[in-house]
Amino acid sequence: MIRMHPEMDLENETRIRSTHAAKREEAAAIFAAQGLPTRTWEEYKYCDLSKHLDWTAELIGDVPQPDELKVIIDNWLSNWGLTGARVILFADGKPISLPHDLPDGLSITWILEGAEPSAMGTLAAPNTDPMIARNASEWSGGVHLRVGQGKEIEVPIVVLHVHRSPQRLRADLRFLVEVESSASLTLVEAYAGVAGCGRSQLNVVGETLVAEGARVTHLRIQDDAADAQQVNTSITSQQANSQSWQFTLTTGGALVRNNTQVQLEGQYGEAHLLGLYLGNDRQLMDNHTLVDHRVPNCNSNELYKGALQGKATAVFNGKIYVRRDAQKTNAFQSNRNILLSPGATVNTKPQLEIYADDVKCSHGTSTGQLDPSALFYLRSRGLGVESARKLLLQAFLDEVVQQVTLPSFQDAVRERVYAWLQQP
Amino acid sequence: MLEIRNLKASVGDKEILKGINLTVKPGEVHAIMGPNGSGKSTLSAVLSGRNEYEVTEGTVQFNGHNLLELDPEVRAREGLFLAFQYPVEIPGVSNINFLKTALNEIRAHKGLGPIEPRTFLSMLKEKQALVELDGKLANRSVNEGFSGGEKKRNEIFQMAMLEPTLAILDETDSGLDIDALRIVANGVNKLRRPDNAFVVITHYQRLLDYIVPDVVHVLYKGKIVKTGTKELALELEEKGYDWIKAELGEPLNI
Repeated sequence: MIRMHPEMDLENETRIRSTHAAKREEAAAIFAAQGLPTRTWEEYKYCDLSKHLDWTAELIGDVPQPDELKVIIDNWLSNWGLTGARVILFADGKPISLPHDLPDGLSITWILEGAEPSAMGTLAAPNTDPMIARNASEWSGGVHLRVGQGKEIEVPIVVLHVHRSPQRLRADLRFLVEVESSASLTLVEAYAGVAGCGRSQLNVVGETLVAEGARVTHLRIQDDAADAQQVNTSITSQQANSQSWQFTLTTGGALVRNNTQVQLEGQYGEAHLLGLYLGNDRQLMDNHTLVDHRVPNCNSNELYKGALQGKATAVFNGKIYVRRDAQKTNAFQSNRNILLSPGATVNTKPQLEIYADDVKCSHGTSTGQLDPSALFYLRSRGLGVESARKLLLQAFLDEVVQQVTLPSFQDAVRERVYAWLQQP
Repeated sequence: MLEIRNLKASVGDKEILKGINLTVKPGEVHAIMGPNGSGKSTLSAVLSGRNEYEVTEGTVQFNGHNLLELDPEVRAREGLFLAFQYPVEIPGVSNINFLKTALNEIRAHKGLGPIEPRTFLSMLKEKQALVELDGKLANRSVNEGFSGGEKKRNEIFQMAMLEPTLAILDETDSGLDIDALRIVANGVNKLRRPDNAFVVITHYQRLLDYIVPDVVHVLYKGKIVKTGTKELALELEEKGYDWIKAELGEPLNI
């Protein structure tokens, strides 16, 4: 081991710190110039963050008690069929605890100021979106997961953010996931609010690098408190022969905006994006997805379904880019919505930009009510209007649920959907 | 059991049923025959409670209730069953889950608790055998990907499970080959009891070789123009509907 000269070491550290400080300043300048996106931004047309978000709230100061959190975690895991999973815990915007007893080949570390991993920021560029800029300038906590070459991690790893303080909360969180070649990981990213918690505003940026032949399952549960707000940017980059499965369940929160992007950078990659959003009252749920086919011979498959009641609004914008070189691409996208009340709204827009000529791409969107002939058929067998509607809705949503891998989690999602349908 | 008096119904401005009179008693099988466009399917739709038809006149009494005032599900719970001419495919809803829900809602209407799982299972097996329905089909989504014959058998299977007092079979024979026709008819015959009744709506006499009716009615231009015994069906088969037109003094299309 080479020991550095103390003076040199100090100098080096100062240089690194100033680099990071410079990065934050640069991002802050971008955000200051752009501000929160308004509806004049095409990407935020139906989700005017400048109107909805109030970023003046301060981070809250008190740190939750570990005993209290243990009960919350255990209940949460059992509710979602994830008992036994390892949990990385954030509470009230702060990094709280990392799991012990990790399987061989998996490392999990907090991302610390001045010691950011080199891969951080390689996918999420501050100049592409004000919310990324905001996060790059303000992030206050983050976690770095790394799976070593060829290591298949069986146990699901949960990144859970719990908001339990009655005070308001604002936080910018950062995730970095690196899965090395031929390795695999199941990651559950979840947001929960304890009853009585204050209003929270989270701005999350996640980057996932999937190396050659690696597999990632990324399950996202946005079941936050009723008045929570969240902007979640997730960018996944895939090398050759890799696979990604993403599933996003959005049920909670006053405003949820997901920017979910997948970049297929190596041939024979496969990306699956599934989404389910269940909106009520005045909830706003906005999924912007982008699947970028950059090379030939990749497959992508996307299915988002939603049901909306009350005056809820959903937005789906599904971009698929097929670059000029990306021949033999198969890209499929489908977005289906059911409006359960006259006050509910969906804005859905598929956006395919295809520059290669030998590809198979398809997209479809629909927004409507339950099929009246199916409804009548069920009623003619004795089912009341309400139970007939529930049965049809459950069937409609289950098309997504049944594609979620991890059986015990799938059952839990099904139960959550069922519980949502039972509410008046 | 069923008493229809001067029933008139329209779609938009067009009157389709122009005064139907029909009485069905327990234990009886009635056949309603008629050429295309005579109002056969409209009659079954009105009886089952489809809302695209407007009843403009007349009454329908069913087991002591004013049928036309009941919601479709209440009609079903009171013992009315319609075997659809075109059964609906419902992806994602399992046949079994659906039948259990239906059965329990019918039971709740009668003041009974939910069916015991074991009783339900043995009932499923018994009724599946009755219509020779493959167990795999019973487990699948309602009618999804079923062939025409399988869909019709599934209708009779549902009928067997729900045990209605009055079943209306709307052109159940259409699109069936002779084997499927025999299976469907056998199912119906086994379900005949002194306390239930069937109304079999059909274009062809063929089905009536297997399900032997007590009464045959001829529906023409929205009215029952002739009523007779099962021989009437044979006569119709032999002479065609033109014979009825001639009897009514209408010009024949030759």
